[in-house]
Parts: sequence; structure tokens; C-alpha cells
Amino acid sequence: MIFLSKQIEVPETLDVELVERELTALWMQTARGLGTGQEGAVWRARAANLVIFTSQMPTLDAIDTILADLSQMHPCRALVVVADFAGADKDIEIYIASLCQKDEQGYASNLCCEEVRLRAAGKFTPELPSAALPLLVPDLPVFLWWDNQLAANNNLWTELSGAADRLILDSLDFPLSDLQKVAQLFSSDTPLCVSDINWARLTSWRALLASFYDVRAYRPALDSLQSIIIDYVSPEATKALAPQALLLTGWLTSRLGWVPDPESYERDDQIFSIKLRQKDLALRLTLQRIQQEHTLPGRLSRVELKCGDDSANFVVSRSTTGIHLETQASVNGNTYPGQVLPVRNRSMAQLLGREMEILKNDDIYTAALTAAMKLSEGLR
Amino acid sequence: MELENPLRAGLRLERVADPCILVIFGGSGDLTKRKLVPALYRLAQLRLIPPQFSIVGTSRQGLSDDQFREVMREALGKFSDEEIDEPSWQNFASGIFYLGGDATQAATYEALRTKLESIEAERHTEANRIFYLATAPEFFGPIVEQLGAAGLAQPQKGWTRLIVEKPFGHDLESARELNQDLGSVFRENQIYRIDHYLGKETVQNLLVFRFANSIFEPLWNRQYIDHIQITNAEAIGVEGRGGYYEKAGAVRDMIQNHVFQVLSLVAMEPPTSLKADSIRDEKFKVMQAVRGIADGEVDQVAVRGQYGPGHVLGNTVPGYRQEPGVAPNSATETFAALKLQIDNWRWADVPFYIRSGKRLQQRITEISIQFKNVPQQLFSGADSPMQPNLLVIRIQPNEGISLRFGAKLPGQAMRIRWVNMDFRYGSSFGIKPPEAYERLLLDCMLGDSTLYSRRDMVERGWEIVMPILEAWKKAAPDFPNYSAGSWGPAAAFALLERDGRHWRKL
Repeated sequence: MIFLSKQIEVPETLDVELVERELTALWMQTARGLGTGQEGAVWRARAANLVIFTSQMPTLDAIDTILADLSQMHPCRALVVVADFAGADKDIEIYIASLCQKDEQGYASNLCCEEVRLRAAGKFTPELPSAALPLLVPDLPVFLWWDNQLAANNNLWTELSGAADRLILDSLDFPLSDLQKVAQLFSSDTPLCVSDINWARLTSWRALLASFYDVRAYRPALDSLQSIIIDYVSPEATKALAPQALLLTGWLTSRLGWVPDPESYERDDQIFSIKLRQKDLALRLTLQRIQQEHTLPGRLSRVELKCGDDSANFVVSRSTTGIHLETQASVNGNTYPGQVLPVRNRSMAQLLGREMEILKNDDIYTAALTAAMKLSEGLR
Repeated sequence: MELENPLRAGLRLERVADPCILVIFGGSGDLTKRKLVPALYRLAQLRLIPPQFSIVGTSRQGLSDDQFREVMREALGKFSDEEIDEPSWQNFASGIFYLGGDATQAATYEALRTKLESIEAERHTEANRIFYLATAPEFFGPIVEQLGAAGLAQPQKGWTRLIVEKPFGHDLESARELNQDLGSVFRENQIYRIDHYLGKETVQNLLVFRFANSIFEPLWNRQYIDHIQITNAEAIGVEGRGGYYEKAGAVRDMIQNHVFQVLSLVAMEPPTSLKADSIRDEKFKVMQAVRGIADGEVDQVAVRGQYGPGHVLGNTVPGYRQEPGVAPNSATETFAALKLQIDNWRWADVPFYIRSGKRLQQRITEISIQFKNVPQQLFSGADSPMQPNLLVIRIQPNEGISLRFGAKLPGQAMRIRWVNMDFRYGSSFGIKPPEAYERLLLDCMLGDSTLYSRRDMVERGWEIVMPILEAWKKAAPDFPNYSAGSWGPAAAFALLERDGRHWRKL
């Protein structure tokens, strides 16, 4: 990776062309200093705009690392908007950087990412969107990675999300109130497409659960579902329900057409339990908070679906070492071949990259989150 | 199935195969070790095949299930470029079985039936079966006949499919015979003829490139295109397969199948849907329009070559006739170049130049579409000579697409510089494309035959090349006629120069 950066002087009124000129100068510096393998030309590839919002200074280095990896999958213009709300008043500063992959000969290749970092503190933070948005590359999709708590009334949120085609967030340790805010986005006048990285982490669990019922012989078992038990490792230092457990529950209930019976909530420190109904059928859903070595907080540990008087049982679980997912199916006393698959610990850049492949709304996620919020009403 | 399984909707891995058993004839062979088992293991890792999936390897060798698993584990370590996760392998290997026996004997098929039924009962593969012919081609007929005789070809329940490796015959007659043999036991929609070229991402991208972009299709005809070149160059020689190659040659080994598949995708009309037969109908239709070659004109439209000793990529290499298994006076062509015409409204008078060879300067497979010159040379005084626009679709290596256009060099003078705008697959998406065999095996399990060759297409390929092969058989060639490490014989250059054109410099 070839990384060049500089701070540029910002006049009182932002001059977009100045930033573009400085970026171009940086490209030429890249070409002159490191060679390009082709005479007199530097190529840029840009497939998207990525706006990253953060108010946490320590995450900036991590963002640079993520961008370096992400640019391999999605060459983009990244606008990193840093709002130091609590800091002493400081007007907007702009830093620009180019990140170029090296080709096999060690030259800068045409695959590059350009980063514009805008930083302000104190009373100047509300000005950030007005400086950032004119720097978006026209006609390219705008992804907004909101690396912060959700704040629906904040002008930064309103303006940056208003310009975005897709919002990317990570609900791993969201409190229930933040999950509700995400759910409200779907019902607003201008609904925003949402990518939740925490939902993406559930893909393997969902795929393995779904794979049981790709077998035609097992499919009828879904109609006689009697209980769902989900074990999760508690989010750090809280006794809160893990958003992963809620999302998976919301997914199962929305896909299978079950609705919560509001009179049936049971809860203590470890267990949250509720009866679900579908016409005249009922099943018991249990979410259990457990301790498990080698499993990170907020993650699922085990999902079990019991069907028809315990005649069929389907389990996906994390191995005790934490590095495999295992499946088990038994029907009428017979145990069938299961799978042992390595857990994919995707980096944040890989997770973001996968989210940036999608532009349309994920209706399954919308339904899952909506159902999860319905389910958690008794907890509020 | 997706509609029936409510949990499958919206998952990114929507294409998950049915549970099934894959029976590999030639189970201990090279293809199984190098390509099939690594591809199947990777599909399992990607959660694209279900836990019930099972493999039965068969060959003459007497091996136990465990010994066969051991051989496959060793092969995986050698041929897979990914680290093997041992618990996952153990889990995958529990679905691998072996049956030793003579593939021409009925008893083997009785034993196979018993084995399959026992695995089906144990692993719930729902009586779905794929038979994969990865043996030497002379066994294709006998195996299929035995499968039919044993009642294994037509399923009582579930589905049964047959995958056939190349070569599909040695000439038109043997291809028809093979198709006849296959067709007497299996229905055409059960037969999947592998052409691994079609499994390559860039080849599939041809469909997207042509039919998902509105800016190229209006130019994709005789009005704007001067000619099209398809180059399939290999730097390697016969790599110890001299015995096989002696009977094949460049036309049989590459052009008649792989190159014609690429040609048909470039030249076909838009299909009405993405259904397998909709696409394959159009591919066949355009191949039907390829002008037949008359006896007397082979020399004007076809060139053959054979490499002599030379230097390739910094190494001194022997000539073809010095390779093991090759006759010292061999007349097998290691290079062929053709000029084809497609007689339809879109392509009338647009020649398609094709070349394929071994021991050429470097390994490149590409399609180059050369557009016509601008009608008036406005910039005749410019320093650089005018060049036509060029669109290059690179299949390997560095899969990608490149467009050449003219741009003015900054300055007082009117200087034109020809620049290439590149889109490179590997680097633009940073995603490792699936291996061809992964894609094709999964497609077969899913019942999607789009990327497999249909009977009519295979036979049409042979029909086109037969006059050339017949003419070459009659006259002894003056071989070797090109040095290893060059771009083929002089006659291949003359083939274009006669038309006032040149091969693209690679």
C-alpha cells in the first residue's frame, strides 16, 4: 500500500475545486515519486462514495487501516467526518490522502482510494456536513457508515443520512433504544436503506438453520415447531439482551409467521421467555444469557429448534473452542450428518465491503428488526 | 425450493444445492485430485452444498473408504491453495466413500447400486445422483451402457444427472456416436458436458458486458466492427501429455470446444431470457451461421503449425517432436489459426480470426474487437498514426476489459496519444472469483445447464472443423514451422496480412 497525505489550508468558505486540485496534485506526487508503470498517467478508480462519521478520535487509525483494505474491494472516495463535540472550539481542518495498491512490480497501480478527512470541534461541528457533502463524487452511490450512537435529532445525522443511499451501522452492542431508532427509520417519510453489520454476522447462523429445511423430509417439521431456544453471551458488563439474539428471533418469527403473546412474558437475569402464537398453535421462545469462554460478548452460542413433541430437533452451535459452527439434526430418534464449519471472523473491512455490494433495501432485515421490536415491547 | 423453505429467502447464499451423491468414475485419477475434490471441499466451506452431500469414488484400484479419504486429503493439501481446517475436512470426509471395480463389468454396477442405497439411507441424499465421467474417453460409452443396463440412469425418485468430461469425440463421427450412446441411456436434459472455459468468470461476464450495457450493443455489428480476433495462447508445451496430444492437436484440443464457446458468446444474438436453453439456442444459432469451409479453400482460411526448440520465458525448451510420447516425425499441429465468416445480418463481411497454440511467447486468452476507422482522417497531420478503437476482453491471466481510445496530448501541437482504459477484475473487486469447476459442479447440482455444452453445439463445432482436419490429413506438413517462444508460424501472420490486417501485438 502506498499512502501519501497532507493537510490543506481551508479558506473561510470551502473551495471544492481547491480540494480537488490538491487531490490531483497528490496523485501526481504518487506517480512521480513511486512510478506508475505507465508513462504520464495515473489512473483512479472510484465506484462509490463512502462517508464515515465518527466522534471518537481513537478510532481514526483503525479507519485508515479499514480503508486500505476496503479500497481493494471498493475503490471509492472516502469522506471521514470527525466531530469532536466535547473539544475546544476549532474550525474545520481538512486532510487529504491517497491510498494506492502496489502492483506486482511495486508501482502504484490504478486501484486507489482517496480519503478526505474533515475534522472540527466544539461549536464548529454542525458545519461539517456543509463542507463534506459538496465533496461527494457525483452519480456514484453514497454509503454512510455511522460509527457512533444514533442521534436522530442531531443536524449531522439529519444532513449526512439525508445525502446517503444506504446507511451502514453495527448494532452489536446497541441498547434497545438504539435498535428502536433503527426500526423507526423504515417507517419514516423517506425510508433509508440500512445495512447492519451485526445482521451480516448472523448470515452463517441463518444459512445453517435454513439448510436443515432444504431437505424436503425435514421441512414439515417447521409446521410443528414447539420451542426455540437461543443461547447468547451477554454484551459486556450488562445484563441486556444481545441484539444478535433479538435479530435472530425476529428473523425466525417473521419468516415463520409467529407473533408474540403479550401476556406471556417471563424474565429474570438469565432468561427471557415468551409464548408465540400462530392461529391456534403456540410455541415457547427462550433467550438464555450464558457465559462461554472463547465467545465474544454479544455473540450467539447456540440455537435449537424443537419440533413436534420433541420428535425432531435441529441445533446450530458454536464449538467450545469458539472457532467452528456445528450443526446437528435428529428426526424420530435418528441423527443425521451434521456440518462442522470454521467460523468466519471477517475483518471490519470485509464486512463493510460486503455491505457495499448491496444497494437495495434488505426486506428480510427490515421484517426481522420490526418483529424483534414487537417482541421486546414487554421489556420497555 | 427457495419458495418452499421460508428461511432461505433473502439469504445471500440462495443457490444451495439439493442433497445428492456424486459418483466419480476415474475417482483416483488426476482430475479428481487436482480439481474435483478441492472444488467440492471449497463449496462445502462456502456452505453451498448441504451436509448430506456425499462422494463415491470408483476406479480399478482396491481401496477402502478410509484409504480413499486419505488419498483425497493428501491431494487437497497439495492442490488447494487454501489452508485446510482439519475438523471441517474430517466432517466433509465422512461423506466420502470408495468402490473399487472394473467399470466395464456389470457386477461393479450392482455393487454400486448397493453402495448408493446404503449411503442414501444413512445420509438422506434423497436419491439424487450425479455420475461424473472423469475416465479416459474410451470408457464413456461402456460406463453409460452399464449404468443404463443396471437401471441407474433413470431415477425412480429424486434426480439423476451425468457429467461428461472432454473430449467429446475425436471427430464428427465419433462425437455423434458418443452423443448417440449417451442419448440412448440418458435424456439430453440429464447430460452435462463440461467445458471448463464456460466456468470462467470473464466468459460469463461476456453475457453481462454485452446485454447489461446499452452502450456496446448498438456498436456490436458489421457497421462499426472491422474484425474480431480471438487468441488462446499457452506458454507451456504438452506437459507430459504427449501421448494424448498426439491424437488431439490444437484444433481438437482447444478450438473446436473452448474457442468456439467463446466465439458463440461474442457473436450470438441477445437471448430472450437467461434460461439455459434460451442462451444455448442463440449460441447454436450463430454457430450454424458460420460459413462452411470448402475443400479447396482450407489453405486460404486455416494455418497449422508445430513448435521446434526455442526459448520460452527465459528457459530453453525442446521442440514438440522431442517431447516424451511424441513421434519424431509427428504431424500433429500445436498451433492453428483460422479465419471464419459468420453469414448473418449482424456479422456479414466481419472476419473472425482465431489462433490457438502451445509454446507461444506467453499465456494469454483474449478477445479483441477492432472497430472501424473513423470515416474521415481529420488528424492526418498528427504525429501519431491513427489507430482504430479497440475493445479487449481478457479471459486469462488478469481477467478484465480494456478500451483503447485516442486523446490529445496537452500542448500546442495536435498530438494524439492512444490510451487504454482498463478494468481489471481481480483488482477492481478484490474478490477471488470461484474456480471454474466450483461453479460448474454447483450448477449441475442445481440443475442449471447454461454453462454446459449441448449436443447440437458439440456436433456443430466438429462440423465446422472437419474440412480442415480432413485436408490436413491428406497433405504432409512442413513441421516444425515456428520456434517455441514465438507467436506462431509466418503463415499465421500472412493470413491477416492478406486482408490488410495484423494480429494484435501481445
